[in-house]
Amino acid sequence: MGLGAAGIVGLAGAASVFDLLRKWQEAEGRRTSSEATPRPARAGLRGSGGAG
Amino acid sequence: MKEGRHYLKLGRNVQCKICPNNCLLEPGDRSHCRNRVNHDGTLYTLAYGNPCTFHVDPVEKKPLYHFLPGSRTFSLATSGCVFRCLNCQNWEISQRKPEETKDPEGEPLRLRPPLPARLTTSEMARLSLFPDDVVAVTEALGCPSISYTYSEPTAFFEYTQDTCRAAHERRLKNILVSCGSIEERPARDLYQHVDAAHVDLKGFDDAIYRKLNSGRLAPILRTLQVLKELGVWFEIIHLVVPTYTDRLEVIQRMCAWIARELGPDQPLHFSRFQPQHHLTHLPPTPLETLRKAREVARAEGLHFVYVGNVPGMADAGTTWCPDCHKAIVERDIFAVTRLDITDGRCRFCGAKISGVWS
Repeated sequence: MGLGAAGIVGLAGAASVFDLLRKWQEAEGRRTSSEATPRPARAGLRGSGGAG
Repeated sequence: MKEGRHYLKLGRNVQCKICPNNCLLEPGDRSHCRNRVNHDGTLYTLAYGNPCTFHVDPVEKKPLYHFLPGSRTFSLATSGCVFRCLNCQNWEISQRKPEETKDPEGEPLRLRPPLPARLTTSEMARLSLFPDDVVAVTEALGCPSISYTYSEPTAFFEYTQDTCRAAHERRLKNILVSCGSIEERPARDLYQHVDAAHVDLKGFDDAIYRKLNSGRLAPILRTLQVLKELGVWFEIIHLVVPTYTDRLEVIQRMCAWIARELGPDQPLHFSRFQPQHHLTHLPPTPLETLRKAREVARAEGLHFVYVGNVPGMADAGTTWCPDCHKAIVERDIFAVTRLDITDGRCRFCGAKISGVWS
């Protein structure tokens, strides 16, 4: 970046989205982190498409 | 955690309606773009405020040749993409999840002016940059615009939209660099806050789109028509990939469609392929192919046709006046070396030149 004086602010104690994600994953017993590809859409809905 | 927009609640399942993938997600599932999760029947975005990279670029790098020439643009991206392009040059971020490009364990940080002299990799990985922060940083850097780029802004839709709104309140311009694969409703919702776009038209053959990009052609064409209708300034780029998107008869059909549907003043950039990602076995696009593609585009009536990724090719980035045929803008890679446009008109003959020049 190469500009100015320090302006990095710590957010100690603040929960990040990743903290929340981890809690959800633990609570639900699912690993959203490994499911990058949605399952195909069902009849009546448009396809999710795409390669994995 | 930010709730997503443009999705359907189907009991505890949700269906994302941002892009044509239309991901149907059960609780705990993650979207195809990797940025969205269904938690207990609500869709959330993980990308909001979590850029994995940002930089100050010349606007010509996007590439935009007819929008604020010579200006710098604060450019940022999060992880994720709606496509799976075999040739992706930014696959290290586009084909990653947010938690893979950030440090999910470290103490969160926030960046506000005055800006630090430098950021360490560790700080960057823990940094959150919310819409107001992006605007403040952009102003501190003296950039007139913000670019949502590198990966795919459709995959960080909410973050892009809120930042665009905040930018407009401060009279900053917004630039989207996108594959154009977005549903029409969110497109209209988002592009009302956008000043310029660079849209990839990766081919003109649906079968190739499916094979090379894991996408479809029709939604991209629709997006281009919507942008035209909305009056957003945009430029099209076509990457010429050997054996995939280098057939001149297909390029000719594509150019004819652009001239007919978008008009002869629609800028088109042919870009040279370099071996990347899953296509390292292919050679770079031959220069002769790029020259022929440019000839085809001009023969179809397009006025502003450029060739990119080819340092040293004479007039690759030159803008010619459609009326008097004189060179009015010359560029050397990303630098503007000559600008003979005054108040949006050719300095020699006074013809109006399409674009946003100041």
